[in-house]
Amino acid sequence: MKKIIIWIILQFLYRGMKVLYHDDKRIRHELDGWNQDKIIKLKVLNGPSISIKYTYLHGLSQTKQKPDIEIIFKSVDTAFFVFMGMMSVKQAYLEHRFILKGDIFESMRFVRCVDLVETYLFPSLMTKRILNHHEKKYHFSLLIYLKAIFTF
Amino acid sequence: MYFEFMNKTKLCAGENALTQLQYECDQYHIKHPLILTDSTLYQLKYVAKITKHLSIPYQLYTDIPVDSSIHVVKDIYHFYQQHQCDGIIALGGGSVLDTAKGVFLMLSQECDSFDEILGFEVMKKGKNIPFFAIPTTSGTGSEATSVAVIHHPQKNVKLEIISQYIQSDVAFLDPCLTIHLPLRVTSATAVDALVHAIEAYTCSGKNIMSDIYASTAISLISQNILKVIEKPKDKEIRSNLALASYIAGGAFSNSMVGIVHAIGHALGAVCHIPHGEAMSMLLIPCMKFNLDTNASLYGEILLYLDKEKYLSTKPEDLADVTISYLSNLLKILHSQTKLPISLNEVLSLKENMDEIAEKALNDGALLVNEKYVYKKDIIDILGGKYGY
Repeated sequence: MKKIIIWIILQFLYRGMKVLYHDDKRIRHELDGWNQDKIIKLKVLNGPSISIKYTYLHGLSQTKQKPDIEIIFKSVDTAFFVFMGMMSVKQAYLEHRFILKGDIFESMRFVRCVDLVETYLFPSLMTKRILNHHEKKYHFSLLIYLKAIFTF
Repeated sequence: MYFEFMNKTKLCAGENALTQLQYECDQYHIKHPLILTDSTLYQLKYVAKITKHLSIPYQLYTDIPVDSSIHVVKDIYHFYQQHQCDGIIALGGGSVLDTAKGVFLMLSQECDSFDEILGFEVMKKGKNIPFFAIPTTSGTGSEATSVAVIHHPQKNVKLEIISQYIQSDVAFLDPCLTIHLPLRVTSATAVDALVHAIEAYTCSGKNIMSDIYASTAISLISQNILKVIEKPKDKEIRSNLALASYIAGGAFSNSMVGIVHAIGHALGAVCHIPHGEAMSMLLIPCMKFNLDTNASLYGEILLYLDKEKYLSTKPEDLADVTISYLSNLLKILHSQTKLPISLNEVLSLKENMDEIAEKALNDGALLVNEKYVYKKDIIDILGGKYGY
């Protein structure tokens, strides 16, 4: 059951980020800062995964190509905590809950984007608990949710 | 609460530590080691200080530059295989030790490309390659850490590898290797170690084990940093500083560092400021920036810096007194050793501020700074909002 929930949230995370790339200039600024295409894979050991391709100045899509950066959660339970908004990416990093293949410097932009997407997708009560900073929302979360559902 | 802590390095510390070198080589079945160092240390006959304790043949590589790169790592990797060596002895400062770690990883992981080992805890335990570290400065603590930072010239970034398998098997801290260090280098490296300990004690990754290491390192450095300026040839003082550097390395290797290092790495990459000097310039402004979040922990640090002062200070003033204590310490080091402590001394700072801030923002160290940091905050710090 946890694996199914994680898969659904991974889809929402990707779709949310894809929508927000066009609707929130902070995410566009972060991803465009790579100055080139980039593929990020989020994976749970013995669980679901998603590969997200960023195409320079165009946005996000799903892919099956080899990733430049791969974040692999060591257990389904920890991934569940993170994707259910019970643990921040920062805390997961501090607790060695995932491994990261690739350039750590380049992955920081993605981490900041995940924080921003969580601000929209999770209730503020939740984000206040897991994030040590408050990010302004420029759109209603419901609108982002609806766009995320209908984006492909 | 959950944490992990790793420190597997055997420590040979104090006077005549190097006399144990051959014994340790025997213990690890080393019969033909590769000794890695830089040309300056070779010319200063530091290699002879260690080879006189070896009774086995060895291969020597002395061309590691100050700002080592992945190309140097690959070159040494081939050199090691070509000469059929069976262990690595790294003699030098941070650049030599980090280069050695890169070589060690490529050999133990049996990989041809550096890209395969980049990242955070990516590797599984590899082939057994004995790796000894002999630091010649007392600052980086690289001999105790799970981190290697190596320059990528094409991308102009420092690539970071974090792995529990990267720590040296044995570290030798012999005061005969640091006793002739110039005073400015001595103070800069000691401040680097002090910043490792302070950031380890105050960043988000702290845990009870790293606290024990960090607080011990802070005490050792505060007790010896000014003494070494007065008595630079005192072997006990030098030993204490080398030990403090090792312990601080063990602390931050497990808890990580924060904003001082994030900006310091960027300042080094863009303006070529030596790391220890960057730490000396950034410590106070960054502590002032962090003060509202870290006040309580900064207050605790005074206990390890100066117990009497801690006991005579009102609890609400502890953090400010800590910052003022450290600020005075830096001023003394500046006056006595010419250690640069002001960002105003970085001539190319203003025109490069945006690039430094951007690089610092993408440094992994910023993720574990307890207070969240925006690019504007970094520009404020560099621009003098928090003094200096």
